[in-house]
Amino acid sequence: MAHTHPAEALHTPHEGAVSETPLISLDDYCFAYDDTPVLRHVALEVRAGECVVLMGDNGSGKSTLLKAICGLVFPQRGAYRFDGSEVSERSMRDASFAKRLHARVGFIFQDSDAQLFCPSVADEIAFGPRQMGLSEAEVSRRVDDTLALLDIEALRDRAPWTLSGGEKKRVAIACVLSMNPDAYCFDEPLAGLDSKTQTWLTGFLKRLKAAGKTLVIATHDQSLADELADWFCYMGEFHGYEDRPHVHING
Amino acid sequence: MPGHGDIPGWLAKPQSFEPIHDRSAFATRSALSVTAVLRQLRLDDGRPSRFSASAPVKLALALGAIILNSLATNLMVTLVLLAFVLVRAALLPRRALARFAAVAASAAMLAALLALPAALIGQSASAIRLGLKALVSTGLAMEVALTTPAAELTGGLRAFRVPNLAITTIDLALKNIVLLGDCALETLTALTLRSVGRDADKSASLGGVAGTLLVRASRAAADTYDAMRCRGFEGDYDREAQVRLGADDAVWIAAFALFATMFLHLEDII
Repeated sequence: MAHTHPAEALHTPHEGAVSETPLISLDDYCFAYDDTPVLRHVALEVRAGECVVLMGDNGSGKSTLLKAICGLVFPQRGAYRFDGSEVSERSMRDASFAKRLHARVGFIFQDSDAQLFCPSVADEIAFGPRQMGLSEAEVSRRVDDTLALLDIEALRDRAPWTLSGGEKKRVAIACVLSMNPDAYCFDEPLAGLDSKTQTWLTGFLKRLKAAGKTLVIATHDQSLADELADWFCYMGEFHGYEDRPHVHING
Repeated sequence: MPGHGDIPGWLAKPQSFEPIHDRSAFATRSALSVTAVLRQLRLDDGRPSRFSASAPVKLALALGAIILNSLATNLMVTLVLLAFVLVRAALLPRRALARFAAVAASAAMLAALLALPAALIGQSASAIRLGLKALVSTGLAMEVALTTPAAELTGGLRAFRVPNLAITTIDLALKNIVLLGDCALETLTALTLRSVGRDADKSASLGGVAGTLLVRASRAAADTYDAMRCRGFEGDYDREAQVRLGADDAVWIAAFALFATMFLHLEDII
């Protein structure tokens, strides 16, 4: 299959502009864990610069859909394309292709603990940029900028496991942000956070969206969805704002 | 440097990135391999198959059969048990059968490998016998594990007067193995997602994952202990002893008695 260089293939939108071509495209996508179907004939297209909010009951397949977008699970039927390239079990066996996809799609886990494994916050944020082969000066700049952007400079030398839940969430976002992916998948970003941190995070996601990033957010939080969504994706039997742009999938 | 809250310039531009060739392909290969192994190790909750005895009877009979298999000098005893194990395995669901075959065959091969020197000095019958015995004993244990829910298994131990402390430890260990397996999968997935290039300090990254798991295991154990204390735990762990014998149990016990008689006859004890 043809591998297109990210910089050539994707015109990253600016200031909230939305591209006409789909960045993420799932067609008749089916996936089952063992014998339990989780995603059934999912058809979904997300254009670059859009913010899509996935809403559905527990077990409706939201997290699995995010994993599919990140290339962590593969369709047993149907297809998934990211920026025109098919993401399949076969294509992901090509290490370069897999790395390119992982550099372009960031995944912020619901449980921040699972995402943090370095000895200090600064190392955690620098891990991705160093992996990408950026110069130490650029890595250092990104660490400083990201710490400032997320207002966590005071945590720079702290060990991630000593932080509070809200601080861990900020660090988890920072370590993905420093890689500058095109698309971000957030799994229940507000879960377990206090109201102050929830307000901050909602504002931050709005700024990220305004910067032209593609956001796919799985959440149960109606107010977050209302503030951010360009359109909604209702999963399973869930019904929400019928008067807002939406699609129903996985019914 | 941009001010607080400002989106930095590099974040508003497209990211140019060409993966560096990493000969060892550290995280994308080894982490995924470890993940795959963890998936295999992950315990699932066994389901009773058709013709299953109750958990205490199953435990007692499996233990008895394993002891007789170990003591047997007549190969016929092992072959009878092997036939039984294979018939029972044929009744397992496809996925359970795959796990059964993988574990039992590995144990048999390991035993045969250990007995290889004996085969080289002309004792090949002993090497084959050892491999068969390992296959039968592991097969019996696997069948109990695959057809008995974990909660019933530890509940069944109560029937044998196993101390409360041991049952508590087994229950918590089973729970934490499953939970830590999930945590390990998540952390390795996070590592894989950010491992898009060459990792100069591979041992540090892997050490970080292990450290994260250690911290989480320690926290989970402390939380569980606190939760138990909040619910009145003072050292006693009372589980209902599940010793209600049914008709199926009677059939199994009779069959085992018949097998034990055959064992005594074949070993020239009676």
